[in-house]
Amino acid sequence: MNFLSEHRFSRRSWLAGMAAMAGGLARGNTPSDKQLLLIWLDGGLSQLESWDPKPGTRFGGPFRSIPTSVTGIRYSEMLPLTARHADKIAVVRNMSTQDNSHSAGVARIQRGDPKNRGVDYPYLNVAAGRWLGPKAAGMPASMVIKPGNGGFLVSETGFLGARHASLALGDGKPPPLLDRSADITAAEDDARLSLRDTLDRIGAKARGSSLAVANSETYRLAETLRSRRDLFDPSRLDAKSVERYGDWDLGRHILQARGLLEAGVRIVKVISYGWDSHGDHFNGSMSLMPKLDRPLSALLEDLSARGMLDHVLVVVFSEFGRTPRINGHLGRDHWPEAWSVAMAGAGIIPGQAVGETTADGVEVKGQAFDIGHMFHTWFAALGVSTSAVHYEQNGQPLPLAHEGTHAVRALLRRPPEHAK
Amino acid sequence: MKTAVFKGLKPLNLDSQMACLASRGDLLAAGGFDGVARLFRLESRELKEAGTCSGLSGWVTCLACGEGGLVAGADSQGNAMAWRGGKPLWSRKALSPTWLRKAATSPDGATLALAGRDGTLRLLAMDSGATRAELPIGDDLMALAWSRDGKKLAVGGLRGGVTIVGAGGAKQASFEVPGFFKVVRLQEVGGIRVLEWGPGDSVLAAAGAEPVTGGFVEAIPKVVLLAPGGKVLHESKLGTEKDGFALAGAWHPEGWLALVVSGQPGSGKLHQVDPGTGKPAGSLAVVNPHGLALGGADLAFVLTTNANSSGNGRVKDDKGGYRANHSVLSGITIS
Amino acid sequence: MVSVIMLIGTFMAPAADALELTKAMDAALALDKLAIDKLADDHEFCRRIHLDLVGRVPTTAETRKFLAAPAASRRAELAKGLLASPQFTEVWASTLHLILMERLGDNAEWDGFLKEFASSNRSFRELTAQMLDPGAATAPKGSGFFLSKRLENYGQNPVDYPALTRDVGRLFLGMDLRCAQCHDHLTVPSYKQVHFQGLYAFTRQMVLGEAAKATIGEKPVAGKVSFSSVFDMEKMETGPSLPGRKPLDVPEVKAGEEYAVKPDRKTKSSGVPKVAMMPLLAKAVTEDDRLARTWANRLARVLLGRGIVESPDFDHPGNPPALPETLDAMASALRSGMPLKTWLEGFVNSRLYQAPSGPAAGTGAAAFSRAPERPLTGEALAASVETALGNGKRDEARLKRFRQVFGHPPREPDEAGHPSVEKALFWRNDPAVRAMMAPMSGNLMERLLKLEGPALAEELFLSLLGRPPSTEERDAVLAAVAKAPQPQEGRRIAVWALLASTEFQVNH
Repeated sequence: MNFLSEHRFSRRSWLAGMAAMAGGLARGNTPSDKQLLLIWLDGGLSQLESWDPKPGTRFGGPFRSIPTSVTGIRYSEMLPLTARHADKIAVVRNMSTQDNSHSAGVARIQRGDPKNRGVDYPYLNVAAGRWLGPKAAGMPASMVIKPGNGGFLVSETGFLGARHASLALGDGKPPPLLDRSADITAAEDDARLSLRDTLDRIGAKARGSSLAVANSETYRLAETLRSRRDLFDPSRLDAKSVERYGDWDLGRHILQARGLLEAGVRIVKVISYGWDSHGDHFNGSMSLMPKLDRPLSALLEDLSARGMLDHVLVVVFSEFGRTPRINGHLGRDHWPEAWSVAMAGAGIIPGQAVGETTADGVEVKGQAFDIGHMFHTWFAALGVSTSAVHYEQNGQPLPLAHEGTHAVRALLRRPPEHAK
Repeated sequence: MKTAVFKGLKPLNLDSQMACLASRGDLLAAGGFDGVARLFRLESRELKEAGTCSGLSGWVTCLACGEGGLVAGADSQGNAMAWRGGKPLWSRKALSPTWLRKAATSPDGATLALAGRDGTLRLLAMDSGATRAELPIGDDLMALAWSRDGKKLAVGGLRGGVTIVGAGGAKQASFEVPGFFKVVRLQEVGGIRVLEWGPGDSVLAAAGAEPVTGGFVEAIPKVVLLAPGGKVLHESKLGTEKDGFALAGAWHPEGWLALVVSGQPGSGKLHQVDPGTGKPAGSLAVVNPHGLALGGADLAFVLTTNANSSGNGRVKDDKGGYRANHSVLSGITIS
Repeated sequence: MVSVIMLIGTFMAPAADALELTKAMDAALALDKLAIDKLADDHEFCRRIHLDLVGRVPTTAETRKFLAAPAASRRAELAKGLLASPQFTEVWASTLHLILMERLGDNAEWDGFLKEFASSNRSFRELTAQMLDPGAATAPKGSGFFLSKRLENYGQNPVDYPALTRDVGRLFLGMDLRCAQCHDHLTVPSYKQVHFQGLYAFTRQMVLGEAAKATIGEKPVAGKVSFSSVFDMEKMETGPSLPGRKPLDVPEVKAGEEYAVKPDRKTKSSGVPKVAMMPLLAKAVTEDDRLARTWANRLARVLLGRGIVESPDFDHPGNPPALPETLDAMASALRSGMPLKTWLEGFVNSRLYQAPSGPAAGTGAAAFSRAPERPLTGEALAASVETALGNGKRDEARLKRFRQVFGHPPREPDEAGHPSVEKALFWRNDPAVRAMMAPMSGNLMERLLKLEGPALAEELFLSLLGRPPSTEERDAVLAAVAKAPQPQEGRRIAVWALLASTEFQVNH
């Protein structure tokens, strides 16, 4: 019943409570302009066919590497458009993580793997939403765009609980039941909402109900979602932009994510499925990679042109990379040992490749980073100090990210201690 | 047609993984993931190493043998090259901007046909590498076959289209063969991977798979026997979704079609396909075959990947190092 | 789901041992230095106990009858009456199911097993023994669901021994040893790796039969469990033991000699192990003091909205109970074999349970001086809607929909009832909600259409919230009703506003 203790603030006035929740102040945060866009490539992006190519080596595969807009940094030829924006990107090539199964890896990477805690940590999008709160009044803190069904992704919330669940737009479409049913008039709807709000307000005062405050906020959110239908309607996407981002789900969803960020959604995660290329991997790459390359490059171009890269952190990641070894089905299997993630914006120093792997890509050369390092780094980029704040769970303090790891200074414009 | 009995001979372990196999007479050539082709000669029913052909990059994705020990090949980075006795004869760097997938020598040995991901069919002089014709067809071209009379070519693509092209490079006809293509989420899966003209050029075998999923790529191997105009004569599935793709084929002198199929790691078969029904008559389990060549009526060669080739995370070898895979070239007697 | 509770006789005193529990709990409060200055008022109590014991709000008739009964005895009488109702058995079988299975899945025989327990005079010790040794001749059908479902895995592997081991520790000993599998627990010094491994020595022999049929068997494993910490790699071993207890003195079985009767494929016999672990585990756990304490804490958590030890999975010296004496009193009763109903009767008559609703005045013991808002489960909400609106018999489709929206998903934190946009949209726009608002013979809407002014507000509030409105609430509701163009719309507005209000959706 963590919720009850955390939200109990009977002495505060109703209105102050509402305003505070909208601005994230109820959680003790200072207002921030930072935003987060996660692009999750479910199944595992191959580092060798993207950020860390090893052409001409035993495991390098059939493709070439190509120069990028940053001298000395080469990407796979599978990312020709993104390569033009390498000056906006930081690639981390020395990721070495723990899990080589999806069942463990998907959650562990997104929870930041704070091991041995006896609790399930929230996913990064949920955790960041917890610390940053909503950005614009009435807009959700965290949304997800994914193929298939939408709804509220409770499974991502870990110990923060279901109330922190991100609203997922299935196939980019609005949540179910967003519209008023035809048999009720706007006047009746308004009247009942207003009475409901009044009764909750009286209840909050009389019984010190903190739930009532949170409840009323959800009605306000629902109303905002309804009034901003344009953001959730894939058919309203501008045709030229769809052409630039790619008329496939990942292209449309990244474009839609840009719109949500602009509208004030604090955190957006775009999930793409189908990257688990155990078989026919190289034909698969030729089909899949362009569908990432186009929207990612368009996104970076737009965020940069609109000045949004100053405050939007973009992360492209998966549960692991793929094996150097090529199996008999011409596939690559799961490989947490040495792989890459890419990021841009919000104070990440761009135009670099941090860390390296051995010539054949099998080992990390020198220092390796686990996902905990990335969590410290990303939180710092978002202005949340992993040393100054912690979760309270059943009276126990819990760190935001794995204590055995630290922020990667080489990635951060401002050292992590400047985060609050 | 009598049912073939296949019997494996002693396999030859190669030092790299190989992408393709070609043969002519007693010469075999295998294209490696290391940009090198290996040559083998068949002597007294035994394969002897006969040198290497270097100069290509990425994967040697296709090879074709000509007269007098001439071998031409192309790679995944768009380069083409030919060698005689392992020595470079000609080289066409960046002939294509991208992956060249299939090579085939005309029956008279004079013309090399190349097709690949850029959708262009290229006809080159086998002995000089000079371009004789280029025909943009479109799609990602994955299969290529000269007719036995040398008058035409069949070219097949990812989306299941077949184009018939005259020996001079002029398009004659095109048709779709349904069921070889599927878009799964973001991924386009499938393709006609094999085209082979049968006896008298009266039948064209198209093989590949009916795709089921992307990622893992589950696909049901499939062969379609077509009349020259594209009419489906027989269609047959050669396994389940674990069994993957038909990747190489050849018509046996006795008039049946040999096909190898390879799917999930460890799976794989050499099939004898009955031309009268399209169904397999005999078969032999072989692990992940990617190449096939016939050495006369009683011998076949398959290029396979070693067993136990897959696994998540680090798989160690005897010395504690990271285990790489390799290919195996196996002889199979046909009786 | 409307039913009238039949009260037998005119006055029923609590059963003697229930009364003793109440007294012991009330006495323990002082030792725990918790002063509950006043008790919940009668409306609050009546609604609270209905929701807790029969899983729904009271009807207006039930509330009025309760208020009309003699003040000195009406609370105890109501408790007794509710405990005797068939709804109690159903609701508490479901409550035990949620405690034990955490929405991992359902099974009809397991449901029957829990219902039988909820209505019986059997002890929690017996219940636990039957769950941990479902192969015993005396174990009822369905008792194997706990072990089989907890062993059945969800991801890539068909079985999950670490999860089963953890859950046995969590649910019967109050110790989540998951993080002590590979080394001593890093933040709970008293949780050792040998504790996990000792429990694992029991569970490792279990084999999943068919989860759907709740069957589980044993396949003997020779030797002790050997393990080493990932930190120092020192080799250790243990036989079967509960955390902190001596390993059991069981004959050590050597490889090749595991069976008393070897399995036989021809006869499809799975064989008989020389040493069967399930009976040993059942015996060890049911003889352990921690079992009753863990059960008491979990039951209290359902009724109080927070555990005396919170979280209930981390009972250790570093996380002491907020009310140690009270917890002891509750646990002692269970230890002595007190059945569920008697224990609940004692509990609901205690001052602790009857604390007034409101925000906690402090932390630790002081937090228990007020009853918090406890969000209703989907099941309770569905039943309460049916009861409050008086639409007649239970609607399975509607129940399913409520479970879907308001239940927490399997394997997720137990936090039903959190506010969410999804729920707001459900109340606002779901056709199921709309359908409930139509006037029908004898239902609330029909009654309200016949009422005006304060009487209307009174009926509305008593039906939905089990209490009369405050002046402010009455004025707000009547103003909204008056403003509506038609009487029915006005009443619909009012009913909806109360249904969708926070108070309707919590027990407090």
